[in-house]
Amino acid sequence: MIGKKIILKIIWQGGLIILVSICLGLSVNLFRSNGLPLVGNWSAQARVEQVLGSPKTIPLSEAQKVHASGKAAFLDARPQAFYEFGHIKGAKSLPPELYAAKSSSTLAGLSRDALIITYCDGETCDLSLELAASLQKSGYSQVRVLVNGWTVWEAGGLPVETGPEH
Amino acid sequence: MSFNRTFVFLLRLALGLLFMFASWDKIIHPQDFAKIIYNYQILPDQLINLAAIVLPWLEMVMGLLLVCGWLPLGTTAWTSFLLALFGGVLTFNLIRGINVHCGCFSTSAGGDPANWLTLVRDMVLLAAGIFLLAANIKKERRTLEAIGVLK
Repeated sequence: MIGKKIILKIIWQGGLIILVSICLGLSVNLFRSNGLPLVGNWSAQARVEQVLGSPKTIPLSEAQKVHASGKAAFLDARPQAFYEFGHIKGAKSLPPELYAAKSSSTLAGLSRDALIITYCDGETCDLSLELAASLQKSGYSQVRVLVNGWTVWEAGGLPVETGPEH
Repeated sequence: MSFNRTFVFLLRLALGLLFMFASWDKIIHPQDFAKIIYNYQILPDQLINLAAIVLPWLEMVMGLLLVCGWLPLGTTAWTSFLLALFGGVLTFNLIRGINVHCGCFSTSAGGDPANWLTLVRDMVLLAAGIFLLAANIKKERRTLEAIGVLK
């Protein structure tokens, strides 16, 4: 039904199309101001740096220390349901999409240079990063991201609690 | 299947213009588009930027060729393939429960979430792509028969 000749034609026409697209893509990318590196750094560290402007991640050990000393505010960037299922002890819930609505009440009493640590769940989750960006924009200067926060916190056997905010 | 020529022409034009329009935002915001690809969690990290660089142009080229009617077999084959691929990736992620932005028409973080409706839309476009491919194949067969290459 679809003869060999037609299949061959599809292949060479298709090959030409992808070749032209690759050439166009690569050359435009080379000469534009906002071009991409051919192989990007998609590690969590690089992504946080890209949005927040400098290494703003915090290692678990340090997060644990400031949590124990009560010197930091922890913000859970995940949806409410996940927060209630389990969150870092003392953390408040502030999903980035609710920032406009909830930030003033959630952040009440926090000074602009208070240490704030945001977290979500998963190596690739960017909710914590989005929240951190919003906080930075609002003028909070000491914001850090605990990458894969929920998982590593739980795995470390560190203090957690459940239920809605009290 | 009958392929009314006006219908085929209009469908080709519509699909072509759609792709040209859809590819534009991705071409001017490569970093945002790369981020969207990253969020799909399908490609290995090292291939993400290459995909972000090439895919929008493939879409633009496909759109242009559809509008002009050049390289019809290759164009409609790529169209169908890409739409099928996207449908598969989307289905996979919808089942996985990964919340991704479609990245179809815009690279902005706020808009364009990918849900089951997106899949339906993709399937409709895929049907159009396959239809056009079939129409082109039929046309090619007729041409080959007419010049005596095919029996």
